[in-house]
Amino acid sequence: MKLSVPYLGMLHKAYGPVLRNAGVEIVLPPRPTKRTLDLGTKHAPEFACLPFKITLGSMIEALELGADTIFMPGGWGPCRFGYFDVIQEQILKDLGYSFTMGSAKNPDDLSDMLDLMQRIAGLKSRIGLYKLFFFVLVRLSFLDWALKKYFHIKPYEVVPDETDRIFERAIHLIENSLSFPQLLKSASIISFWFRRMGKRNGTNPLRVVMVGELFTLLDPSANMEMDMRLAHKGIEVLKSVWLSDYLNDRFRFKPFRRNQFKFSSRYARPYLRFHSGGESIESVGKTVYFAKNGVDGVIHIFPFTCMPELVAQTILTKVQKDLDIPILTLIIDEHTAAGGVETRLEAFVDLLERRRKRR
Amino acid sequence: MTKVGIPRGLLFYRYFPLWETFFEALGIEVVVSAPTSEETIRKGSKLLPGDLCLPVKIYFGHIESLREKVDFLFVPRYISIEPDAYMCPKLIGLPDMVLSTIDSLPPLIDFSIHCKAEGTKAEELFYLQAGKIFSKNKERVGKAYWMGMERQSRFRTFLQRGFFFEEALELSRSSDIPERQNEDGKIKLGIIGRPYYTHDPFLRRSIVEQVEGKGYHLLTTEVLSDQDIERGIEKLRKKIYWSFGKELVGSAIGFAQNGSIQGLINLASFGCGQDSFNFEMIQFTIKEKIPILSLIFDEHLSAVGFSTRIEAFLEMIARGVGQR
Repeated sequence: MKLSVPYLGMLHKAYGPVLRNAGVEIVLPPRPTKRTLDLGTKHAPEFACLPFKITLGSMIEALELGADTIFMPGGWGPCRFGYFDVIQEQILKDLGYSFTMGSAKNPDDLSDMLDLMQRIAGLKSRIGLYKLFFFVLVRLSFLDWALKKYFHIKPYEVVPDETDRIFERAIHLIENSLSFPQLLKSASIISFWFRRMGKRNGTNPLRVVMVGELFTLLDPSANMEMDMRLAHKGIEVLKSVWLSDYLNDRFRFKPFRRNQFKFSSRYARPYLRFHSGGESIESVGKTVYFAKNGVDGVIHIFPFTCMPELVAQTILTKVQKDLDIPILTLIIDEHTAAGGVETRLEAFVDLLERRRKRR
Repeated sequence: MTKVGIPRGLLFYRYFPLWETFFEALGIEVVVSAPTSEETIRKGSKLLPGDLCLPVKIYFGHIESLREKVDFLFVPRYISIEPDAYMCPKLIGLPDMVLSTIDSLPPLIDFSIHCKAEGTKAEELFYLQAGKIFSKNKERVGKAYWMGMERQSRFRTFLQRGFFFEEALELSRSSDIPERQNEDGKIKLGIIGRPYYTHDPFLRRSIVEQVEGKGYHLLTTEVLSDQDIERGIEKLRKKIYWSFGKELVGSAIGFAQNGSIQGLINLASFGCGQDSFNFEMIQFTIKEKIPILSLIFDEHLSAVGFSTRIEAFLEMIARGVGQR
């Protein structure tokens, strides 16, 4: 049994070492590159979205490396994501690969999810699996925490790239913490590192919130590392959805973190009264929330042909007018190049700077 | 008299007889926007982000031309019409999209139908809510709903007998049910698409004219009964969770199974998220049995663009039939 899971942000760092430790063999293909996307685009339906194409390409690369089981959670609409597993399985089987596609009936349901993991990872003990699942989720939330911390502190750094170095070490440390006590210890070490770092006083960096579809928001292969680019321009980056929050809304492993979906719904209500799939509620709700709470600009990012985010985009035109907040909409497809994104980001940042001076 | 405006777009082509009868039974004048034209598409495209699909743009064009003439606009939110399937995200967010793009609107009638959450009663609840605006008399509203349902089922019967929307709508006004003239001698082709493609005269115009002009007979997805469609998708590894997806894939497979058609024409929007997957499913299951022609619509559509492709497709089918 060789298991492979497509990339999604830092997810592979959360589950990889833990599952390996539990005796599961994991195939980690190289991080998605141009080749991955080309492979995906070649075999995917024309109007499938970018996440579909990248994950499909990644699956092919994993199968080339000898994976025989692929994990794709599945789901039940209205977004297309729930049908990824079926179409991808068909495409890959048509290409002549033989493997098992592991997908859950309802990935939002804990017992379904555990059944699936039991099946594909071949773990016997149910309680052990339960512990393992939650441990992975907690690790994920620590990874997200480190990244949030990085985005928060980066604009204030004195020594160039000191934050990046600390962040890299932090991720490494969390990756190698294989028990709860170790994880907590690592967290306190990391916070100490960040605290000790020299910070510039008196700077008031621009704050930009990235909203949009989960995959493009989180995965560097889809968003051309836009978040890091912004951070390196000295801008504080916030995001509407974090993977750990997204999963916490479903599995409640962080008892004191409020349900971000409900939180967003409350703010989205004047504009979008019903969840129309994907992350549309979070996109609208968080834009409204942050626009009212001192953010200079919003970047709305989603893949070409994404249905829920198109609804959100239409609605955000009104939010933009009502709350007087600049929104940059970036629609990503397989032809999007890093250079083009960079130009638009620079222009947007210029605009934000000028707006701030005028005030 | 109070006027309720119904835009001639999207689910209009599926539920209009029900809506019309319901409102008229409550003593309300129903105003429908003029049939789709280039002007409608232009108006709609101006209002919306470019990547939205053509049917939504057409819908917004209709609202734009209707909004000043009526007291209420009927923009229902269809979330799910069956307990285990959703509608398109754009239909789910439709009233919100209307409210955020068009200014100075009359009040909207924008209640939701959500069978997945409320069970099969959801549809009735929806009409009771809508009727409450105009009449305090619950019985009268209930009666209006049942009259609407009766007309709707008559309308469905006509669609099932192979009539297109306009004829079926006309015929459903009277109570007798004529048979459609016998088309036995003709070669039959299936036309697969959402009702707002196969039944919008402006969009299907050129295709139907050309195909029927050559002596073929077109069958829409509505010709198949619900059981046929269910039987079609039964064998898929996972049930489709979009109502229209079910209908499209199920009827394509249904057509292929009962052997009634010689070819399939698929109509879809540029950038339609669901149809990209639905069409993939259709291709996977039946591409070896039946030739398929896929036509993609966007706002720059021109009738001549399709005609060469349709001609080639028809010739191929004629040759295939001749060989047998």
